[in-house]
Amino acid sequence: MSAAAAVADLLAGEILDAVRTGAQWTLAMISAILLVYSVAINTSYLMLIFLATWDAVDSHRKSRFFSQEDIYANPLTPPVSVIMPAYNEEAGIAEAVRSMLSMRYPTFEVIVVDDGSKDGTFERLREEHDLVELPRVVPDDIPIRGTVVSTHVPANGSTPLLVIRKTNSGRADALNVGINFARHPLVCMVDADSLLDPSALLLVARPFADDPLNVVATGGVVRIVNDCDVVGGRVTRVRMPRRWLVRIQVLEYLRAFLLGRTGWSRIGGLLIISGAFGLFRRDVLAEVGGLDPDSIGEDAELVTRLHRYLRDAKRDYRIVFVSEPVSWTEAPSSRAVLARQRRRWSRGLAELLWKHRGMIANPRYGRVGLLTLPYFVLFELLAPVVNLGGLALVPIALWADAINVPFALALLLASYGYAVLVGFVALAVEEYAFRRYNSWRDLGVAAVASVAENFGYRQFNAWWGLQGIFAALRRTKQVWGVMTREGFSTPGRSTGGNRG
Amino acid sequence: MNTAQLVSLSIAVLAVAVVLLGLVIVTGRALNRQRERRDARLSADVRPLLMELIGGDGGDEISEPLLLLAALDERVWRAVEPSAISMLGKVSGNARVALVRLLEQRGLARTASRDLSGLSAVRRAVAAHVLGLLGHAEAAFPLVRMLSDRNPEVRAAAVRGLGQVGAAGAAGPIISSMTGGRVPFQLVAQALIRLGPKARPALVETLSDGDPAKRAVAVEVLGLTGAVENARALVDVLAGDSSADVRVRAARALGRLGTPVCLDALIHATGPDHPHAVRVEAASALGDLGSPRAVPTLQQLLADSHYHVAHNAARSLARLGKPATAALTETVAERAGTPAASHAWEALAIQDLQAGRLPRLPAPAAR
Repeated sequence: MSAAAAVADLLAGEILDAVRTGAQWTLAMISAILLVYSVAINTSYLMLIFLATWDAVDSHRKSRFFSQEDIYANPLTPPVSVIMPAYNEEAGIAEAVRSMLSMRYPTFEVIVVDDGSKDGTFERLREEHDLVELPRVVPDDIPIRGTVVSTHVPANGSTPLLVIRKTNSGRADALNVGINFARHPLVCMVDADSLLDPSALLLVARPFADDPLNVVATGGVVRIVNDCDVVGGRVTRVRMPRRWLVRIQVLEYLRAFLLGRTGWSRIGGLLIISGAFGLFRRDVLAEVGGLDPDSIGEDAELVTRLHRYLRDAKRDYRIVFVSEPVSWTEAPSSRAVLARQRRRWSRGLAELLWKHRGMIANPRYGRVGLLTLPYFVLFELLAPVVNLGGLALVPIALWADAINVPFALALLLASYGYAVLVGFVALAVEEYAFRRYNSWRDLGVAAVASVAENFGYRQFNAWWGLQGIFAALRRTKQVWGVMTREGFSTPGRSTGGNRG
Repeated sequence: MNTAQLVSLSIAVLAVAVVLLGLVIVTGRALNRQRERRDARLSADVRPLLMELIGGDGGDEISEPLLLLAALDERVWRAVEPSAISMLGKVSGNARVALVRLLEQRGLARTASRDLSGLSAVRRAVAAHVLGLLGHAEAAFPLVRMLSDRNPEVRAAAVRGLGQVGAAGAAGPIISSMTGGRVPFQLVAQALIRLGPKARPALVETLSDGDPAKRAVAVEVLGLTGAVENARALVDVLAGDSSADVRVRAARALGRLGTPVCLDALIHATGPDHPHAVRVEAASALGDLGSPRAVPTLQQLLADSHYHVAHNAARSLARLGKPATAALTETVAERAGTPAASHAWEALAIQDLQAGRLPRLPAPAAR
C-alpha cells in the first residue's frame, strides 16, 4: 500500500468516525426532543383528562337532583331547527328522519337538505311522509352556491318536516341552505347517517337555556354504532364492535370526545364541534356567513371562525361541550376507508390552521389563541411527523451506534405505557359517569384495544395524517371520498346497506 | 440515577398505575352491580306499598301502607327512598300529601335541614332539592341562604326549591343570585313563574337592572305569567332597552299579554328603525297576539326586503282569521310575481294543508 493510499484510508476512517460522532450527537439531541415530546403530549392528555374528569363528576352529581324534565317542561327552552344534509342516503334516510322526528324536545322542526342525490333519497322521504311540494321564497341570509330546486312538506300540515331539494354543491353549502330556511333560533347540525339518543337535543340545548345570552354553540359526544343493536332508529343495546380496527376507534372516540373536548370546553378553549352533532345560535351563524364550502374540515373551521369573529367583536360568549348527549355514527371498518377519513381530517386541520394562522399564539384570541391553537399545531398537526420521524430514525441510530437497543425498546415501552394509561383513565371515566358498555367482555376488549392501539394502528394513523398534510401543502383537489357503510345492526334482521 | 434507571422506573410506575386503574374499574363495576342488585331486591318488596300509598284517596286507605313504610328497616328504606323522592316531583293532590307525610315521618325534612350546613356539596344540594319538593314554607329562609353557596349545584337546587316552596319574598333574592351567571337562567325563570303574581314587584324593579340577563328573565316571566298590568313597563323595554336580546324577549312577552297597548307597541316595533331581530320577533308576536288590527301592518310587511320579517308576517297572517286570509289572497292576486305574493301564497298553502286540503294555487315566481 502506498503512503498516499494509507493516508487516504486514514482520512476516510477519520471522516467516517467524525460523521458517526456527528450523527450520534444529532441523534442524541433528536431522541431527547422526541422523549420530551412524547412525555409532553401524554401529559397534556392527562391534564385534559383531569379537567374532563372534573366535568364528568359534576354531571354525574347533577343527575341526582336535576332531571331532563326541568328543561323539557320549561317554557323558555329555545326551539330548535334540526338540519340534516343528505347525499345518496336512500338506505337509511327514512329511519334517520323518523328517529329525528320522535326526539324528546318541546318545539323543533327537521329540515332535510337533499344535496342533489342520485339515488332514491327523496323518493323514500316522499313515500314515508306523503310529501307535497310547497314552493317557498328562498332566504338569502347566508350566500349559497347550489340552486334550490323545490321544497316539500308533509301533506298532513302538522309534521314539522321540510325537505329541500337542491343541486349538488357539497355538505357545507347544503347546511348553509338549511340554516337559511331554519325558523328557530337554534340550529342543530346532524349527519343523515347518525342516530341521536332520544334526549340528546334536551341535553345539548341545556347550556343555551342556562346561559342564553352568552352560549353560542354546543357540541355533544359522537359514539360508534357498529354492531350495536338498533331498533326503530334508536340504539337499544350498546356493545363493542366485532373488528379490532373499529374497537380501537371506539377507544379513540372515548378519549377524544369524553376527555379531550370536555377538557378543552372546561377551560373555554373548545375548537371542534363535530359536524355529526352540534347546536348553534342561528343569528350568529348568519353573522359569520355560515359554513365555509371551500373547507374540508368545515365543522372545526366554523368553530374557529366563531371564536375569531366574537373575539374581534369583543363579545362575551361561550362555546360548550356536553359530555352526556350522544349521537351514534358508523365508523370505517376497512383500512382503506379509515385511511381516507384520516387523510381528510389531517388535511382539514392543516388548512384550518393555515387559514387562521393569525390567531395562533395571539393574545387577542385568549385561551384559544394562546393554548388551543398552539396545542393543535404541536400535538395534533405535527404528531404524525414526529411519530414517523422517530421511527425513521431507528435504523440510522442503529447504524451510527447511537442507541442501545434494549434502552430504545425501554423508551418505546415507556412511551406506549403512558398512552395505555391515558386510555385506561378514559375507560375509568366512562365506567364512573356513563356506563354504556355493560358486559364484562366489552370491558376486557376495551382494555386490550387500548394496548393494541399502539402496535400498528397508531403508526398507520400517523402515515395517513402525514399524507393529509402533504395533500394540504400540494393543494390538490379536495375529495370527500365515499364512506362505505354497512348499515345498522337490528336484532333479528339486517337493515341499511351500502350508503354513499 | 442514570437515564436507563429512570426509564425503567417510569415503566414500573406506569405498569403499576395501569394495573391499579384496571382494578379500580373492575372493582367499581362489581360493587356497583352488587349494590344495584341489592337495592332492586329490597325495593321490589316495598314498591307495591309505595304504589298503594300514592294510589289512595287520602283517607284511612293510606294509613296502613303509611305505617308500614314509616316503620321500614333503615337499610330497606335507603333502597326505596330515591323512588319516593323522585315520585314526589311527579305527583299532585292526595298522592303528594301522602308522600309528604311519609317522608316527614321518615325524618327527611329534619335531615335535609341539618344537611344544608353539611360539608359535602352533594349532600347540601340533595337537601335543598328535598326541601323544595316537600314545599314547606319554613324552608324558604334556609334556602335563600343557600343561594350564596360556593357550589353551583347547591345554588341551582336552592333556586328551584324556592320556586317549589313558593315563598313570596324569595323573588328578589332569586333574581339577585343571577349576578355573574351564578345560577342557570332557566331555573331562575321557572322558579319565578312558580311564584306567580307574588314575584311581579321584584320583576318590574328588575326591568331597570344593569344586568341584561336579569332584565331578560324579568321580561320573559312577566309575559309568561300574564302580567297585563305591567304591559306598559314591557313596552318601554321594547322601545328602548340597550340589549337587542332583551328587546326581542319583550316583543315575545307583549305578544303573549295581548292588550291593546301591546298591539300598538308591536306594530311600531316592526318599523325599519328597530333592529332586525326585534322586527322579526315583533312580526311573529303579532300572530300570537291575534288581533285583526295587525292585518294591514302585516300585509305591508309581506314586501319587506328581509326574508324572516316577511316570512313571519305571512305566518302571522295565516293565524289571524278571515280578514287576514283575504289580505293574503289579495296580495297573491295583485302582486303576482313578487316575493310578497310568494310569502302570501306559502301562508295560504300551509292553511290549506292544515285544513286537510292540498294547496289551492300554483306557486308564483319565487323571487
